[in-house]
Amino acid sequence: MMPRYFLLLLFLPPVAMANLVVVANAPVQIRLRVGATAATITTTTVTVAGGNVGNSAVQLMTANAAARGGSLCAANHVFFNAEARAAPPGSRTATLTANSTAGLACITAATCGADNIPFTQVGWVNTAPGGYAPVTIANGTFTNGGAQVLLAFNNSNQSQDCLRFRYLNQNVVRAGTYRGDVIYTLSMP
Amino acid sequence: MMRALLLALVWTLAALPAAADVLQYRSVIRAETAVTPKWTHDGANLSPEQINALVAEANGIELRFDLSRYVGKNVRIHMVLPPTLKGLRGSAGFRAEWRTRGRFIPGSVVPGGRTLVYQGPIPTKELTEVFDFTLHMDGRYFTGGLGFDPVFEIESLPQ
Repeated sequence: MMPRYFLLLLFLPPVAMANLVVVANAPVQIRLRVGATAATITTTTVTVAGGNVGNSAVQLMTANAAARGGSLCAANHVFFNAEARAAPPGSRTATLTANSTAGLACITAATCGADNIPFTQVGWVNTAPGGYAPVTIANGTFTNGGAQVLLAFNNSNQSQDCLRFRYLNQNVVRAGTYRGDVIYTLSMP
Repeated sequence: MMRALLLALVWTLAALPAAADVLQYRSVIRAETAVTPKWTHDGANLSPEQINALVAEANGIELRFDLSRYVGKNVRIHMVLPPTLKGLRGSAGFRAEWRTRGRFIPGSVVPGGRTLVYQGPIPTKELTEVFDFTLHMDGRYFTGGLGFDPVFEIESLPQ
Protein backbone atom coordinates (compact mmCIF):
# COMPACT_ATOMS: atom_id res chain seq x y z
CA MET A 1 0.00 0.00 0.00
CA MET A 2 1.39 3.26 -1.05
CA PRO A 3 1.41 5.84 1.64
CA ARG A 4 -0.68 8.86 0.91
CA TYR A 5 0.30 12.33 1.70
CA PHE A 6 -2.06 15.19 1.87
CA LEU A 7 -0.86 18.64 1.32
CA LEU A 8 -3.11 21.19 2.91
CA LEU A 9 -2.62 24.79 1.97
CA LEU A 10 -4.39 27.44 3.92
CA PHE A 11 -4.82 30.85 2.43
CA LEU A 12 -5.75 33.26 5.09
CA PRO A 13 -6.74 36.87 4.38
CA PRO A 14 -4.00 39.34 5.18
CA VAL A 15 -4.33 40.84 8.61
CA ALA A 16 -4.11 44.61 8.71
CA MET A 17 -1.50 45.65 11.21
CA ALA A 18 -2.73 48.34 13.54
CA ASN A 19 -0.66 51.42 14.09
CA LEU A 20 -0.31 52.85 17.54
CA VAL A 21 -1.69 56.19 16.30
CA VAL A 22 -3.24 57.04 12.95
CA VAL A 23 -3.43 60.70 11.96
CA ALA A 24 -6.33 61.48 9.64
CA ASN A 25 -6.11 63.74 6.60
CA ALA A 26 -5.50 67.42 7.22
CA PRO A 27 -8.67 69.52 7.30
CA VAL A 28 -9.27 71.96 4.47
CA GLN A 29 -9.16 75.52 5.75
CA ILE A 30 -9.63 78.91 4.11
CA ARG A 31 -9.50 82.24 5.90
CA LEU A 32 -10.13 85.70 4.56
CA ARG A 33 -9.71 89.01 6.26
CA VAL A 34 -10.54 92.31 4.60
CA GLY A 35 -9.65 95.32 6.71
CA ALA A 36 -10.88 95.32 10.28
CA THR A 37 -11.57 92.17 12.29
CA ALA A 38 -14.61 91.15 14.36
CA ALA A 39 -17.16 91.20 11.53
CA THR A 40 -16.69 94.94 11.01
CA ILE A 41 -17.26 96.15 7.47
CA THR A 42 -14.35 98.35 6.50
CA THR A 43 -15.32 101.59 4.78
CA THR A 44 -13.15 103.70 2.54
CA THR A 45 -14.26 107.24 1.73
CA VAL A 46 -13.39 110.17 -0.47
CA THR A 47 -14.79 113.68 -0.80
CA VAL A 48 -14.41 115.35 -4.20
CA ALA A 49 -14.48 119.13 -4.21
CA GLY A 50 -17.18 120.59 -6.44
CA GLY A 51 -14.75 122.09 -8.91
CA ASN A 52 -12.94 118.80 -9.41
CA VAL A 53 -15.86 116.50 -10.10
CA GLY A 54 -15.33 114.53 -13.29
CA ASN A 55 -11.94 116.05 -14.18
CA SER A 56 -10.18 112.61 -14.14
CA ALA A 57 -7.84 113.69 -11.36
CA VAL A 58 -7.56 110.52 -9.24
CA GLN A 59 -8.85 111.01 -5.70
CA LEU A 60 -7.18 108.84 -3.04
CA MET A 61 -9.58 107.28 -0.59
CA THR A 62 -9.07 107.07 3.16
CA ALA A 63 -9.65 104.24 5.61
CA ASN A 64 -9.60 104.16 9.38
CA ALA A 65 -6.77 102.72 11.45
CA ALA A 66 -8.60 99.44 12.15
CA ALA A 67 -8.40 98.57 8.44
CA ARG A 68 -4.61 98.49 8.42
CA GLY A 69 -4.05 95.09 10.05
CA GLY A 70 -2.16 96.53 12.97
CA SER A 71 1.08 97.98 11.66
CA LEU A 72 1.23 95.80 8.55
CA CYS A 73 -0.13 98.47 6.21
CA ALA A 74 0.49 102.19 5.91
CA ALA A 75 -2.17 104.71 6.84
CA ASN A 76 -5.37 104.66 4.73
CA HIS A 77 -4.59 101.22 3.29
CA VAL A 78 -6.83 98.19 3.69
CA PHE A 79 -5.19 94.94 4.79
CA PHE A 80 -6.17 91.76 2.94
CA ASN A 81 -5.16 88.33 4.24
CA ALA A 82 -6.21 85.24 2.29
CA GLU A 83 -5.09 81.80 3.49
CA ALA A 84 -5.87 78.45 1.93
CA ARG A 85 -4.69 75.22 3.49
CA ALA A 86 -4.99 71.58 2.56
CA ALA A 87 -2.70 68.63 2.12
CA PRO A 88 -0.93 67.67 0.03
CA PRO A 89 0.31 71.04 -1.23
CA GLY A 90 -0.64 72.11 -4.72
CA SER A 91 -3.69 69.86 -4.82
CA ARG A 92 -6.27 72.66 -4.80
CA THR A 93 -6.68 76.18 -6.12
CA ALA A 94 -8.00 79.01 -4.00
CA THR A 95 -9.68 81.93 -5.72
CA LEU A 96 -10.47 85.37 -4.34
CA THR A 97 -13.25 87.17 -6.17
CA ALA A 98 -14.98 90.52 -5.82
CA ASN A 99 -18.64 91.24 -6.50
CA SER A 100 -19.07 94.92 -7.33
CA THR A 101 -22.26 94.76 -9.37
CA ALA A 102 -24.27 96.99 -7.03
CA GLY A 103 -22.33 100.14 -7.84
CA LEU A 104 -22.35 103.21 -5.62
CA ALA A 105 -25.94 104.30 -5.06
CA CYS A 106 -27.00 107.81 -4.20
CA ILE A 107 -28.15 107.99 -0.58
CA THR A 108 -29.03 111.69 -0.62
CA ALA A 109 -31.96 111.55 -2.97
CA ALA A 110 -32.69 115.27 -2.69
CA THR A 111 -29.54 116.10 -4.60
CA CYS A 112 -28.63 113.04 -6.65
CA GLY A 113 -31.91 111.14 -6.90
CA ALA A 114 -31.41 107.50 -7.82
CA ASP A 115 -28.10 108.00 -9.56
CA ASN A 116 -25.53 105.25 -9.40
CA ILE A 117 -21.77 105.43 -9.92
CA PRO A 118 -20.42 102.16 -11.31
CA PHE A 119 -17.58 100.56 -9.40
CA THR A 120 -15.48 100.81 -12.52
CA GLN A 121 -14.68 104.24 -11.14
CA VAL A 122 -12.86 102.70 -8.20
CA GLY A 123 -9.43 101.10 -8.40
CA TRP A 124 -6.54 100.26 -6.11
CA VAL A 125 -2.78 100.13 -5.81
CA ASN A 126 -1.26 97.35 -3.76
CA THR A 127 1.76 97.80 -1.53
CA ALA A 128 2.13 94.34 -0.03
CA PRO A 129 3.56 94.19 3.47
CA GLY A 130 6.82 92.45 4.28
CA GLY A 131 6.94 88.83 5.34
CA TYR A 132 5.96 85.77 3.39
CA ALA A 133 3.55 86.71 0.60
CA PRO A 134 4.36 84.73 -2.53
CA VAL A 135 1.12 85.75 -4.24
CA THR A 136 -0.35 89.24 -4.21
CA ILE A 137 -3.32 91.07 -5.66
CA ALA A 138 -2.35 92.97 -8.80
CA ASN A 139 -3.14 96.64 -9.10
CA GLY A 140 -6.46 97.11 -10.82
CA THR A 141 -9.97 98.48 -11.09
CA PHE A 142 -13.32 96.94 -10.29
CA THR A 143 -15.11 95.57 -13.33
CA ASN A 144 -18.64 95.91 -12.02
CA GLY A 145 -18.77 92.12 -12.33
CA GLY A 146 -20.21 89.50 -10.05
CA ALA A 147 -17.09 87.38 -9.68
CA GLN A 148 -14.05 89.38 -10.68
CA VAL A 149 -11.00 87.24 -9.96
CA LEU A 150 -8.46 89.15 -7.92
CA LEU A 151 -6.24 86.25 -7.00
CA ALA A 152 -5.81 82.54 -7.65
CA PHE A 153 -3.22 80.43 -5.89
CA ASN A 154 -2.42 76.87 -4.94
CA ASN A 155 -2.69 75.52 -1.39
CA SER A 156 -1.12 75.81 1.08
CA ASN A 157 -0.39 79.45 0.75
CA GLN A 158 -1.14 82.91 1.95
CA SER A 159 -1.62 86.26 0.25
CA GLN A 160 -1.15 89.47 2.17
CA ASP A 161 -1.89 92.81 0.63
CA CYS A 162 -2.27 96.48 1.52
CA LEU A 163 -4.66 98.14 -0.92
CA ARG A 164 -5.01 101.89 -1.26
CA PHE A 165 -8.31 102.53 -3.00
CA ARG A 166 -8.75 105.43 -5.43
CA TYR A 167 -11.69 107.09 -7.06
CA LEU A 168 -10.93 107.59 -10.76
CA ASN A 169 -13.26 110.59 -11.04
CA GLN A 170 -13.87 110.27 -14.78
CA ASN A 171 -17.59 111.08 -14.78
CA VAL A 172 -19.51 114.22 -13.95
CA VAL A 173 -22.07 113.23 -11.33
CA ARG A 174 -24.59 115.17 -9.37
CA ALA A 175 -23.65 116.41 -5.91
CA GLY A 176 -24.51 114.07 -3.08
CA THR A 177 -23.34 111.06 -1.10
CA TYR A 178 -22.94 107.72 -2.83
CA ARG A 179 -22.42 104.42 -1.14
CA GLY A 180 -21.79 100.89 -2.34
CA ASP A 181 -20.60 97.52 -1.05
CA VAL A 182 -18.10 95.17 -2.62
CA ILE A 183 -18.34 91.58 -1.43
CA TYR A 184 -15.16 89.51 -1.41
CA THR A 185 -15.27 85.73 -1.52
CA LEU A 186 -12.45 83.25 -1.02
CA SER A 187 -13.19 79.74 -2.22
CA MET A 188 -11.23 76.52 -2.64
CA PRO A 189 -13.26 73.73 -4.22
CA MET B 1 52.38 40.31 25.41
CA MET B 2 49.89 38.31 23.38
CA ARG B 3 48.01 37.25 26.53
CA ALA B 4 47.84 40.86 27.74
CA LEU B 5 46.40 41.92 24.38
CA LEU B 6 43.88 39.10 24.49
CA LEU B 7 42.82 39.99 28.02
CA ALA B 8 42.45 43.61 27.03
CA LEU B 9 40.28 42.59 24.08
CA VAL B 10 38.13 40.36 26.26
CA TRP B 11 37.73 43.15 28.82
CA THR B 12 36.79 45.62 26.08
CA LEU B 13 34.16 43.29 24.70
CA ALA B 14 32.74 42.70 28.16
CA ALA B 15 32.51 46.42 28.77
CA LEU B 16 30.46 47.02 25.63
CA PRO B 17 26.69 46.97 26.08
CA ALA B 18 24.80 44.13 24.52
CA ALA B 19 23.14 44.72 21.15
CA ALA B 20 19.66 46.24 21.34
CA ASP B 21 16.63 43.96 21.11
CA VAL B 22 13.19 44.96 19.98
CA LEU B 23 11.01 45.23 23.06
CA GLN B 24 7.52 43.77 22.85
CA TYR B 25 4.71 46.01 24.01
CA ARG B 26 1.01 46.42 23.57
CA SER B 27 -1.40 49.28 23.83
CA VAL B 28 -3.64 48.65 26.83
CA ILE B 29 -6.76 50.72 26.17
CA ARG B 30 -7.09 50.40 22.42
CA ALA B 31 -4.99 48.84 19.72
CA GLU B 32 -5.11 51.89 17.49
CA THR B 33 -5.89 55.51 18.30
CA ALA B 34 -7.23 57.76 15.53
CA VAL B 35 -6.65 61.49 15.77
CA THR B 36 -7.46 64.46 13.54
CA PRO B 37 -4.81 67.12 13.00
CA LYS B 38 -5.40 70.84 13.08
CA TRP B 39 -3.48 73.70 11.58
CA THR B 40 -1.11 75.03 14.19
CA HIS B 41 -0.95 78.72 13.38
CA ASP B 42 -3.54 81.38 12.67
CA GLY B 43 -3.15 84.98 11.72
CA ALA B 44 -1.16 87.14 9.40
CA ASN B 45 2.49 87.23 8.44
CA LEU B 46 3.13 83.51 8.61
CA SER B 47 6.20 81.81 7.20
CA PRO B 48 5.85 78.82 4.81
CA GLU B 49 6.63 76.52 7.75
CA GLN B 50 3.92 78.11 9.89
CA ILE B 51 1.30 78.04 7.13
CA ASN B 52 1.87 74.32 6.63
CA ALA B 53 2.31 73.30 10.27
CA LEU B 54 -0.14 70.69 11.54
CA VAL B 55 -0.45 69.27 15.03
CA ALA B 56 -2.33 66.31 16.49
CA GLU B 57 -2.68 65.23 20.10
CA ALA B 58 -2.86 61.59 21.15
CA ASN B 59 -3.11 61.62 24.91
CA GLY B 60 -3.36 58.84 27.45
CA ILE B 61 -1.73 56.14 25.32
CA GLU B 62 -1.06 53.41 27.85
CA LEU B 63 1.63 50.95 26.82
CA ARG B 64 2.55 47.74 28.62
CA PHE B 65 6.08 46.44 28.06
CA ASP B 66 7.09 42.81 28.39
CA LEU B 67 10.30 42.94 30.43
CA SER B 68 10.29 39.37 31.70
CA ARG B 69 13.75 38.73 30.22
CA TYR B 70 15.22 41.76 31.90
CA VAL B 71 14.04 41.60 35.54
CA GLY B 72 16.86 42.67 37.83
CA LYS B 73 18.96 43.97 34.96
CA ASN B 74 20.09 47.46 34.27
CA VAL B 75 18.74 48.49 30.88
CA ARG B 76 18.37 51.33 28.47
CA ILE B 77 15.24 51.66 26.33
CA HIS B 78 15.03 53.82 23.21
CA MET B 79 12.06 54.86 21.11
CA VAL B 80 12.92 54.38 17.44
CA LEU B 81 11.16 55.55 14.29
CA PRO B 82 11.83 54.12 10.83
CA PRO B 83 13.20 56.57 8.24
CA THR B 84 9.89 56.67 6.38
CA LEU B 85 6.35 56.67 7.72
CA LYS B 86 3.16 55.79 5.91
CA GLY B 87 1.38 59.01 4.99
CA LEU B 88 4.51 61.08 4.80
CA ARG B 89 6.48 62.03 1.70
CA GLY B 90 10.14 61.43 2.53
CA SER B 91 11.70 61.47 5.93
CA ALA B 92 11.20 65.17 6.70
CA GLY B 93 8.15 66.91 8.04
CA PHE B 94 7.37 64.91 11.17
CA ARG B 95 8.29 65.09 14.82
CA ALA B 96 6.72 63.24 17.72
CA GLU B 97 6.97 64.73 21.19
CA TRP B 98 5.76 63.02 24.32
CA ARG B 99 5.21 63.58 27.99
CA THR B 100 5.01 60.65 30.37
CA ARG B 101 3.16 60.04 33.60
CA GLY B 102 5.45 57.42 35.14
CA ARG B 103 9.09 56.40 35.05
CA PHE B 104 9.80 56.99 31.39
CA ILE B 105 11.60 60.10 30.15
CA PRO B 106 9.80 62.74 28.05
CA GLY B 107 11.36 63.58 24.72
CA SER B 108 10.96 63.76 20.97
CA VAL B 109 11.91 61.74 17.92
CA VAL B 110 11.96 62.25 14.15
CA PRO B 111 11.87 59.63 11.37
CA GLY B 112 15.09 57.65 11.44
CA GLY B 113 15.76 58.84 14.98
CA ARG B 114 16.34 57.04 18.28
CA THR B 115 15.62 58.66 21.64
CA LEU B 116 16.23 57.39 25.16
CA VAL B 117 13.00 56.83 27.10
CA TYR B 118 14.18 54.73 30.05
CA GLN B 119 17.41 53.95 31.81
CA GLY B 120 17.76 51.98 35.01
CA PRO B 121 16.95 48.67 36.67
CA ILE B 122 13.92 46.58 35.79
CA PRO B 123 12.03 45.66 38.95
CA THR B 124 9.11 43.70 37.47
CA LYS B 125 8.39 41.60 34.43
CA GLU B 126 5.89 44.14 33.11
CA LEU B 127 6.07 47.88 33.10
CA THR B 128 3.21 50.19 32.14
CA GLU B 129 3.65 53.77 31.04
CA VAL B 130 1.18 56.38 29.85
CA PHE B 131 2.32 58.60 26.99
CA ASP B 132 0.80 61.90 25.90
CA PHE B 133 1.93 62.33 22.31
CA THR B 134 2.00 65.58 20.36
CA LEU B 135 2.58 64.87 16.69
CA HIS B 136 3.88 67.70 14.53
CA MET B 137 3.51 67.42 10.76
CA ASP B 138 4.49 69.65 7.89
CA GLY B 139 1.65 69.80 5.37
CA ARG B 140 4.17 69.99 2.54
CA TYR B 141 5.13 66.37 3.21
CA PHE B 142 1.91 65.04 4.70
CA THR B 143 -0.23 62.94 2.40
CA GLY B 144 -2.79 61.89 4.99
CA GLY B 145 -3.50 58.76 6.96
CA LEU B 146 -0.18 58.92 8.73
CA GLY B 147 0.74 55.88 10.78
CA PHE B 148 2.75 56.47 13.93
CA ASP B 149 4.10 53.17 15.09
CA PRO B 150 7.25 53.53 17.16
CA VAL B 151 9.58 50.66 17.93
CA PHE B 152 11.12 50.29 21.37
CA GLU B 153 14.62 48.88 21.59
CA ILE B 154 16.13 47.59 24.80
CA GLU B 155 19.73 46.90 25.67
CA SER B 156 21.26 45.52 28.86
CA LEU B 157 23.88 47.59 30.57
CA PRO B 158 26.79 46.30 32.65
CA GLN B 159 25.69 45.67 36.24
